[in-house]
Amino acid sequence: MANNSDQTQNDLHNPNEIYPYWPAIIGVTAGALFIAGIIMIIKGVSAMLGALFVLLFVLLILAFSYQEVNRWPKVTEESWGILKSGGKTGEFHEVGSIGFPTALFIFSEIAFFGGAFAAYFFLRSSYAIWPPLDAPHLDVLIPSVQTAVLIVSSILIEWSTASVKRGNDFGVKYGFLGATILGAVFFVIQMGYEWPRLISSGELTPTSGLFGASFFLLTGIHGTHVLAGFLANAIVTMKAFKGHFNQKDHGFLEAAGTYWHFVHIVWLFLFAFLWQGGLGFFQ
Amino acid sequence: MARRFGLLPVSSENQSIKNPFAGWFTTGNFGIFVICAGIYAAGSLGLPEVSVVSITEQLGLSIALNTPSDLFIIMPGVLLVPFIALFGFPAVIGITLGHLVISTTSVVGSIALFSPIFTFIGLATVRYGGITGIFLKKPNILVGIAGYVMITSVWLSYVAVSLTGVGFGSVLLVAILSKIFPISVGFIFYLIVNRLGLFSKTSS
Repeated sequence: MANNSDQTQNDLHNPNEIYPYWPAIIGVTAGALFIAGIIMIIKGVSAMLGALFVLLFVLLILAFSYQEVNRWPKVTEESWGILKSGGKTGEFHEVGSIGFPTALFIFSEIAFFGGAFAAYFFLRSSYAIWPPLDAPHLDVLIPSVQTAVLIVSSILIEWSTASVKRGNDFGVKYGFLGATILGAVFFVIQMGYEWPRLISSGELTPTSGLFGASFFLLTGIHGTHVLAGFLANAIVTMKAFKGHFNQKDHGFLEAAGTYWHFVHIVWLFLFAFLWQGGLGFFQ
Repeated sequence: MARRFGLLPVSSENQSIKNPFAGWFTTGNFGIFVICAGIYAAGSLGLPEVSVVSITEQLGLSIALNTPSDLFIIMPGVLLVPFIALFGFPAVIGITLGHLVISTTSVVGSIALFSPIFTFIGLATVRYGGITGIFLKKPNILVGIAGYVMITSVWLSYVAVSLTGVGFGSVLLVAILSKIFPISVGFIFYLIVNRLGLFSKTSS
């Protein structure tokens, strides 16, 4: 076991052996081959050559995966070794900063919502006027209340985050508890009141044109994120009441708080674009 | 390369990998950024618009201008401006983003999307208490706020003049008024909060 661990350590210490540049180069080449192959097939340039390119791509991926899968037992063994010797994965979070995994996750979420907004703007660009003339004028009272709920919940999370660094247990517990309750309030307003009201009255439904479809799609994916944030906040609250967080170890608390702030910022854009017809001057 | 970009599996050696966001992308800063953006944007999107032009008309002043109604509205979010001295640069970025969000809904047109740039420059002067070290020896929040009011008002006036062709001077006066009302209220709140010491630690 010890010898194996040492061997793995040595392997990892030599980046040129385990992590050469070739995988990246091969990956990019394979991707280019795949795209070229698909274009050739779709455009009818040469179905045979296109299929050959796609086949080459599949073979390269398989060969690369086979090599990578071979390494997985070593990586797993190393990780178990660290955990058994008392190491904590949570220690990789730098206290006071957003951990790299959280930041990466947030950036992936930005890309996700960026894609959703891009699709929305692409679709609506086919209209001369936006919102369409037959679209209802949505009342801003409910989203205003929801925005206020999110602002207060963000403030509570900020209080909780500051409290954990000062060792103030009361702030940690009740800050996140309040944010969790407000998260539930937001979700109930959205899915339990606003959606049923719009659909049952026939004012706006998912099938009432592009505006309706966009509205329910975007608010739906945001609502799903709110639900995920609510669950994360609820878990943090439970952990806080069990005393799992302290001044040194609170990575999960910060990650959940950061995620909630992100959900909040996305809502502002939804409010502007869906309720106020934001960027309508480009139509 | 994989090591540099943090793509390695968890290992003891990985502990030496530095978090590239350490120091500036903290939860605290991100929270301040989001809260400021939220308050600024919601204050304008969610509340009824109060136009300075209509106020001046009701007061009988002869600076009623033939300008779009939402050009000189009182933005409640401007209340936050003095608090930049407490919350630091994340608040600057947050308010700028909040302004960008409301600019997308402006009836003035695409020129409104340039407004956040001037807001950012103005807010930066508040953050640094004027232009510390060049014109002033010590940072002064009032000088910073005056800088913000002037920078944003001149830009607003330029937009109004370019759209309507009215005189720059009278437009500038209305623009300054539209900023001074909420900023004065915000400054009073700032003094109270500062005196009470509610936010003892200044953000980065």
